Amino acid sequence: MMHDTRDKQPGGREPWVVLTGATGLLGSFLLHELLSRDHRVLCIIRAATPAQARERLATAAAPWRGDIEPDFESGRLAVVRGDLHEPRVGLAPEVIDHLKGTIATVLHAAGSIAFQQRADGEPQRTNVDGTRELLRVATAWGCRDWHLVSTAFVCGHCDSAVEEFHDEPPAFRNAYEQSKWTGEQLARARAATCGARLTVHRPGVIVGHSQTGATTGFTGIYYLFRAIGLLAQASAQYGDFDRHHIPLRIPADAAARPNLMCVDDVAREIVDILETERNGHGVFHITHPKPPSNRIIKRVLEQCLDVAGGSFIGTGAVVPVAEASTYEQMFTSAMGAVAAYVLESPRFDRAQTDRLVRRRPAPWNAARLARLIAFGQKSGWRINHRSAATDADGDGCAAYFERFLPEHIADSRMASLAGLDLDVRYVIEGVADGDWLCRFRGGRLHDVGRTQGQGAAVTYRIAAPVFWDIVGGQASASELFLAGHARVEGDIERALKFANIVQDFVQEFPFDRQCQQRADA
Amino acid sequence: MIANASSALTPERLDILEESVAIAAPSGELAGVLAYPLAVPARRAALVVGPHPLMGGRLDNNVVRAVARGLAEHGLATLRFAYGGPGPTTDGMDAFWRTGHAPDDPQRLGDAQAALQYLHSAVALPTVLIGYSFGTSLLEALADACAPTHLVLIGPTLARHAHDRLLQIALPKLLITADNDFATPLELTRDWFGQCRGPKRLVVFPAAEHFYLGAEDRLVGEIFAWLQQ
Repeated sequence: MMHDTRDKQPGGREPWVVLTGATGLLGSFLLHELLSRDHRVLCIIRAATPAQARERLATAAAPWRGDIEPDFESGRLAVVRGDLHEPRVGLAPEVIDHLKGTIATVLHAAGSIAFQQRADGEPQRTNVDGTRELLRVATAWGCRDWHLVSTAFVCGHCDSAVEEFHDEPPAFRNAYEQSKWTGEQLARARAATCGARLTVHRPGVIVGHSQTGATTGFTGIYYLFRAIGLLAQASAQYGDFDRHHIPLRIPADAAARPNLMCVDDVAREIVDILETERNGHGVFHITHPKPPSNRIIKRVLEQCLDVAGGSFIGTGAVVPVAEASTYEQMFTSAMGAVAAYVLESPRFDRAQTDRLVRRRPAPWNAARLARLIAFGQKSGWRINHRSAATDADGDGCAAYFERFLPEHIADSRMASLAGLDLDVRYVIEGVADGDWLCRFRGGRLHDVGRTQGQGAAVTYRIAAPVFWDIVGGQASASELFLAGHARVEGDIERALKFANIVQDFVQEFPFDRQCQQRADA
Repeated sequence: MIANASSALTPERLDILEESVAIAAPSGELAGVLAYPLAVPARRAALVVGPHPLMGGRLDNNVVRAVARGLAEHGLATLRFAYGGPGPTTDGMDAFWRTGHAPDDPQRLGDAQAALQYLHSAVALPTVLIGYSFGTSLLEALADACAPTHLVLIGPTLARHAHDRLLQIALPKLLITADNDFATPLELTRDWFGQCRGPKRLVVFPAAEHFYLGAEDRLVGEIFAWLQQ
C-alpha cells in the first residue's frame, strides 16, 4: 500500500493558520490564544536550524503556555524557518509548493518598532518589504484570508477621534507610523488584485498580561516606568533632590489617556475577529475604550516606586534644553520617541471591533497598572527565565524533609518496598542549608537531616524551582534529569530507579508548599 | 510517491511536522509521535524503540526525541512511541528495584511490534530499526517481523538483557556506546560487537554516559552519516 506523508498533513484535515512574529510579545500570546482555541498553527521563525526555531518559539511562549512540546507532538503546532527580509520570506520553493492549499489564514504579526529610519532599512524593511514578500507567498499558497497586525497609530498626529476607516495619508510623526501605513496600503492593493479578504488589526500600546502583569519585553510604556525608576535611583545615589519631590516637568496633559491594552486582551480580540470576520476589508481598532489617564498612571507609579513630585505642563509644551534640569534631560532621553504614544493618545473608535469581539477589555484600574509595574520591578526590567531561590525556599525545604516526609512515607506505597535500602542526598542549589540526607531502610525513612559530610549512594542536585515542581507532583524527577534540569551523582541506575519510586510517592502525597506556609504561619 | 522516492537522505536539516498518533497494541492504546519532513517526501522510515518505561522510557526521552526528530529533519519518516500498560504494582516496583526487571516486561515487545505495524501502515518505505538502552533488546524480534535495512543500537543493555540472536543477524549494524555507560561496561560491548555478523560499525562517545545529555545532536549526526554510506 502506497502512502504519501502529505495525506497526514492538514490539507487533508484541518488547515493551518500561518503566524509570523510568534517570538514577540503579541505574537507569542496570539500563538497561545490560537492553540487554546484548537487552531493548527504554523509559525514562520527566523533560525539557522529547525531545533533553534523550536527553541526560540518555546522560550517566547513559555510565560503564557508553559511547555509547547505537547503542541508540537500533537501536530497542532509546527515551525518552518523563514525570514521576512528574504525573497518569498526565505521559504524554499518546495516548502511553498508543499503547503499549497493547506493554509486557511495568514496572520502577520511580525513588525519592526524602529521609530526612526535606520541604516539597515528598518522599519520599512520589515513592515513594508516583509509584508510584500509574505503576501506573495500567501498568494502562491492559495490563501485568501489575510490578517495584518498594524497599529492604531497609523493615524499619525491627530487631535480628534479616530475612525476605523481613514483613507487619507495622515501627518506621520515618525518612520514607524509611515511604514505601518504603507504596509496596510500595500496589503490592501494586493488583496484587491488577488481577490483575498484583508483584515487589518490596529492595536494600541501593548502592555503585559491583565491578570499577572507578565510581559516578555519592556518597551513602550515601560520606558516611562523605568525612567521614573531611574529618577528615584538618582535621588538615592546623588541626594540632590528628594525622591518625594522629584523636580520634573512632564510635557503632557494630566487628563490625557495613553491607549494601553493588555496583551491577552489584544490577542483575544484579534482571534475573535479572525474567527468571525468573513466580509473582508475590515479595519479594527484593538484599543481600550477607556484607557487610564496620565493622572492615574502617575499616582500608581508614585505608590509602587515610592516617589512623588513632577507636574504635567500640557501636551506639546516644550522645556527648552537650556532650561531643562539634568534629571529632566535624563527623563526625556529615557523616554525617547515612545513619549508621543505613552503620554498622549487620541480617542479611537472601536465600533467595528465591538461588533465582533466576545467581550470588551476589562476596565483599567490602579491594581491592574500596579501589576504591570510590579512585574517590571521584580524582573529588574529585564526578562528572566529562571527565578532565584529565596529564604522561603530554605524554610520550605526544612518543612518538607523534617515534617512532610516522615509523616507520610510510612503510609505510602514506598513503605512496601522491603528491598529499598538507600542513602539519598538532595542538594537544593542556591538555598542556604539546602543540603539534605535521607536514609531509607526496608522502604522506611530511617532518618533525615541536613548533610554533615556523610556520603550517599545517590545525590540529586536540583535548582529550587525544579525541586518544588518534583515534590509537588508537577514534574517527574527522571524526566527532569533526562532533560538536563537535575544532576545525579553516584549510582546512576539506582538513582533512576529511585526517581520512579519518588514519582509514585509524590503522586500519592504531593506537597503543597503554599498550604504548608499558611499552616506554618 | 514515497515508494518511488530515491533512498538518498538530505544532508541539510529540513523543517518537519510531528503528529500525535494512537497505536492499537495488546497492552492497550499507545501514544506515538510520527515525524516527517514538511517539504519533501520521506525517503525511509525509522522506528525508535526507547528505554524501559521505568528508566526514562518516555516519548519525551531526550535521546528518543532527538533521534526521531533529527532523522525526520534528514528526510526520514520516524515513529516514536510510549510503552503501554497501567504501570507496575507495588510488587512489580519492588521486583524492579531488586532485579532491574519488571513482571510486565514481556508486554513491551508486543508494544514495539504494534508500533512497527503502525509505521508500516502509514508509510511503505525501507525501514531502519533503532533501539536505545532496553529498546535494543527488542530489535531482534522486530527484525524478524519486518526485514529492516539497518539496525542501530544506542547504549545496548548487554549486561542486563539478552541480545544473543542479534549477533547472528547479518544486517548492517551501527552500535553507539559511551565510555562511561553504567548499563554495560565498554569491554563487554566491544566483545559482543566483535562477535556480530555482517557489516558493522562501533562508535564510542568519549567522556559520555548512558544518557547522552548534550550529545543528542552528535548521535543524530553519527546515525545519519552511517545511513548515508
